[in-house]
Amino acid sequence: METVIPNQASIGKKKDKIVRRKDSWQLYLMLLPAVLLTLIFIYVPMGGIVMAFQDYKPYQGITGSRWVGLDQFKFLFEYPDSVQVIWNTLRIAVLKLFFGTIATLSFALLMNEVRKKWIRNSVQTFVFLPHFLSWVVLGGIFIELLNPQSGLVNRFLGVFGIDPIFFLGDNNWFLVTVVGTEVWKEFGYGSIIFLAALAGINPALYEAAQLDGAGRWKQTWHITLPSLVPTIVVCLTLSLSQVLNAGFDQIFNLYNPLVYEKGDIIDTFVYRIGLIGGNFSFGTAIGLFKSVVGLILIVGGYRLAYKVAGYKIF
Amino acid sequence: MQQVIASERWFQRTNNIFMLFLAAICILPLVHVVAISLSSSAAVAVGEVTFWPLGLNFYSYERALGDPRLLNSVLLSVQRTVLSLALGLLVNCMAAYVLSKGGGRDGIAGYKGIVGFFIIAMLFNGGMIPTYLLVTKLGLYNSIWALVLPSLVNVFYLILIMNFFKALPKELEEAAFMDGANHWQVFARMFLPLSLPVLATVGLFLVVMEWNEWLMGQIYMKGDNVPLSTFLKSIIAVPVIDASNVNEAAKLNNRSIGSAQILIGALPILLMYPVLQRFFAKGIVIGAVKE
Repeated sequence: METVIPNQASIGKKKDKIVRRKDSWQLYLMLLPAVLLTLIFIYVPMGGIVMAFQDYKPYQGITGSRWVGLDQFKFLFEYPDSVQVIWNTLRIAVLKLFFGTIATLSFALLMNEVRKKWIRNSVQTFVFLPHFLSWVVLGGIFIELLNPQSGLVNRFLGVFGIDPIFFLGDNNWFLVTVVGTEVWKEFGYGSIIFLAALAGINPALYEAAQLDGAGRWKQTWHITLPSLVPTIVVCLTLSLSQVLNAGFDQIFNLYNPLVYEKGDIIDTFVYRIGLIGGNFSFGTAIGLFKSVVGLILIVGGYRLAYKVAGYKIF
Repeated sequence: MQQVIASERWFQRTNNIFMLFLAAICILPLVHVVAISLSSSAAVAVGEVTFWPLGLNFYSYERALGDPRLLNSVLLSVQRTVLSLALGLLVNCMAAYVLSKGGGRDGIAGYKGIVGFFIIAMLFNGGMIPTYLLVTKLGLYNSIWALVLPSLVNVFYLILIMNFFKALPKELEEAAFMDGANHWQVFARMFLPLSLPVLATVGLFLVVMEWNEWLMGQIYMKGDNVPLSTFLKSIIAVPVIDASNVNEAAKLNNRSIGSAQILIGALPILLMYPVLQRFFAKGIVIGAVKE
């Protein structure tokens, strides 16, 4: 962040002595659209959070609806469905984080060893592509691929005599599918940051290690991995804030009533029960719970990242 | 020593093959869908199609494109993307310019407050339902502005552009100010032209984001008046495991047509991809630049 450096004349005086340029009114004008839009579309809805403490009825509005205090939250933690949904969210998010990090890191390490340039370039071209496709498109593709009767994956498994698997209809397989497809979509793109860190390692370290007779495995273990630790720590701590974000887009485009038991997450629940079901107050309460936990984790994550790795966003 | 070289060569070869295998895994699902969309109904029905079209035809594309709802939604998506791109770049760049000036002589009063204002907006929001109620209260329901305005300010991109602006040499603007230019002139005639790389990067990301976004289309728009991704969502939403769907799968062309629709939805992204690929690595690097 830029600090204000007082000029010679104002040293020793109060900071309100800054004399701004005559045309600084233009700056306020340029800032206005962004501030107004943020005020309207982010801050005004924050005010709507009072709904979480009301029994909101659309015809009574926010001012006229009955105040119920923490009843919605009590209900949230007593209603079996919503408790289940919170656990589902945590489970899916943690599994994604765990397998995602391992896959991304391993891919980056192996990619770093590729010497042939054309392999490097063509592999990168293909593995980055899924990141840019939307879950609507990918949902369509996976529903086609994973179809128990005609899908390519089950036809392939059939060659080995494996019975068709209901990837999107069985609760446990759905978990596998959600984690697997997310890792598939993001491992390539996620590896960019690790590859950049790998490119920054001093080659002299490897030369010295080779002279000392260290093999590839020892070099990876003693040079490459330790050099990546800061990047890994930053990525992990920053994704802490994501543990209540299990991926609305993905799940909404893949799930169906058969897998609500393990596949329903907070965001899909809010959408279905709150918005479509018209339980505005209850939906807002769950959303608020998620936002607050998310906020605590983001702030905690940034602090941790700053402490451990000196990472600062501003 | 000979042994080391042999094992090294073995590692390289296995690794290369594994990498190519991963690349194949990433691209083959797409290839399969392309093959299905181009195959004859009979070949699709008996499940012979893998990665190459059997009985090549374009019938499913004709059918998919013959649907007036699809063309309608493409039009809406294009409008929405163009509006979001133009206005989004303008609004975020203007704010980034102001914030890049800080709170000093060239900057604004209340700088720290404004920064906090945007950071809080990035970290916290009212959630899906209050936002939905607000958009309907504002009378934006079923209007294209419901798709454009709520997501126009993007604090991440704002910070990215701001960091780029901050890194521009101070001497340039000082010279311009000396010659009597004002803030708007420095912004429009100097900062914007100098920032084409970052503008291209942010612009491409915005286009991808807007084209792919479907939830706002689903909740803020009515009936068939939806962007393409939302329309696609509504036609692929039929669950696979629905018992009645077994019969439907026997109806020949549904899967080919579905595949064609999916690919039409992905086409702009696929066409943009070569350009995207050149820019996104740069974008990440730019985003990581800090003072």
